[in-house]
Amino acid sequence: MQRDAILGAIEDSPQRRWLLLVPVAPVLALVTAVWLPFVNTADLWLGMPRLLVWCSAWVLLLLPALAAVEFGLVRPHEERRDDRQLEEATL
Amino acid sequence: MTNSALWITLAGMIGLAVIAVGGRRKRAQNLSEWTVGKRNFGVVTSFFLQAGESFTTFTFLGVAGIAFTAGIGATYAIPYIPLGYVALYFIGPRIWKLSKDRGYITQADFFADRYRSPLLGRLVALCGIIFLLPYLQLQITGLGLIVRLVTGSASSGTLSMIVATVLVVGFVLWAGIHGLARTAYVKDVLILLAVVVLSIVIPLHFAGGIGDVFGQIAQTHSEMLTVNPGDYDKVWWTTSLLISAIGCGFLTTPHLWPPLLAAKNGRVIRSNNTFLPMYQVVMILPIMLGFVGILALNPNTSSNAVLLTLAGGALPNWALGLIAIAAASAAMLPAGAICIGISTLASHNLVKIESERTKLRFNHLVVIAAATTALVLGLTRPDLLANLLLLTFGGLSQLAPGLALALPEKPLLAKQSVFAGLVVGMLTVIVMTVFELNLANIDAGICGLVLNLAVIAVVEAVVRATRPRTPTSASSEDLPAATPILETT
Repeated sequence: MQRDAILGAIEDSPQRRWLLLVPVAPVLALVTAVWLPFVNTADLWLGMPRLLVWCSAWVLLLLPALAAVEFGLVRPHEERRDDRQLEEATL
Repeated sequence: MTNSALWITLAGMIGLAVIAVGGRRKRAQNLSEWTVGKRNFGVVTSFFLQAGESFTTFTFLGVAGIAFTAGIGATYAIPYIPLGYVALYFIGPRIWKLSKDRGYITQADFFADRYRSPLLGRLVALCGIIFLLPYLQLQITGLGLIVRLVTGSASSGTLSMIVATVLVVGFVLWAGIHGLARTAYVKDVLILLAVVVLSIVIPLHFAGGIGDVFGQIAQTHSEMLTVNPGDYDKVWWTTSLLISAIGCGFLTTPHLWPPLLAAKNGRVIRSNNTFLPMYQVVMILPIMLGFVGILALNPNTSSNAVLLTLAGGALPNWALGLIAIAAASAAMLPAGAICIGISTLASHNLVKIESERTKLRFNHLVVIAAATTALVLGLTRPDLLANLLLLTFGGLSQLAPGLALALPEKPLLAKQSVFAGLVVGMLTVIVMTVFELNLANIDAGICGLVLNLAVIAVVEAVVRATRPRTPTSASSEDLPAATPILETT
């Protein structure tokens, strides 16, 4: 039975495992947003409430964070796995 | 004038149903095909199907209302679904793979099979049905409220609820998940257009533009720009965010399963959950409209009516009808998904039916019964289900530990531990909600989860201590695919 691609990628590329930590930054920034004194304040950033800007910005940053895992760790593993399977099939 | 808005809305609702009906390619031969298709949906269809679940009547009525009442506290609605997508990026492909290999079509299948416990499966199915019914009613009554606010007529609201229910039942029975997939494209375009138009027109009309709104708020209501001590404090914000994110990320509401299981492969699920968080930034728009409401409306205005009251003051009647179509689509698509969720749990997990044809027929009867019950109770006893709705998310979130710990090749828990934790967690949520117990503004669902995990730890320790020492090397994935509780697909 074929292994899950993410788990396979973690085992296959130990030197790139650090990429899994990239999404942790936006997750922590979002969960702790109201506890940060410079975010939970009545002052505005770009004419908008700071909490609104903070949450929107970090939600947008989730995309590059997950893309880093996908394209830096998982997809290369899938490509190597597919190449191996092709080789085995041709042998 | 109100009639024109009503007719435009009704025509739009019928148009949506026609589009959904057109989604059927051929008649479904069995329940699996009707619920998850052939598990071959590509990136685009899966994206809109998953996104469609996240824009509901809450987007239209609830978020602006919370901003009007709680100010910037409403921002918890921006990140909770995106955080759920992060979890789904990692666990979604695993759930999909297990489901494809073992033939799951419902959440209850997963629990029954992973823990080798049909009883646990039935408990999960029963909880899913009980807690989803008020959510179905919320969509139908929300739609009625939208039409009532747009037309100013209570009878129009009632008429639209009845028409919407009939249409939803019709397209769900005819086209199943394919109907939802077809409507999802149209719905998302309509909602995005409506929210963007409202976010330009309303601030311009009431406050001279969006740039001025927060400047005025900072001068006159600066306390609304921070999360302050009180009912909507930091603990409320954080725990509401966490419990909602857990609910989304661990698929605790059963109607979220078919869109995920219908995907073609794990890569589709990972791709979608990478890009979907970006989509949720649109939530800032109804929040901004809630702030316009603080400046422009009477403080006693009903929170649910804020957005459409503002729209009524800024838009002509025909344009309101178009906005109402978008809002109606935000109710009809999730209502359809919920009908599929409830009916498959009932016909596949609660009642044992051998014949595929009979099972599909019984499933269709459940769709009609669930939608009718939600409509009738929504019209006659709205409080009955509304009270139950308070339990829906916190209650169903109690499934998260059992789900997460069943993902490894061999589940990490015994069925007794999951069962006990689930019961204690749900009872905690029910008791805290019914008796209005407030523990420092911590969400009842989080309190339930803490006790749930504590009970799991204790029962698991007891089970392991008393378990006979006969090691079993086979993981559950090595067991034969056909089990008494599952159909093979």
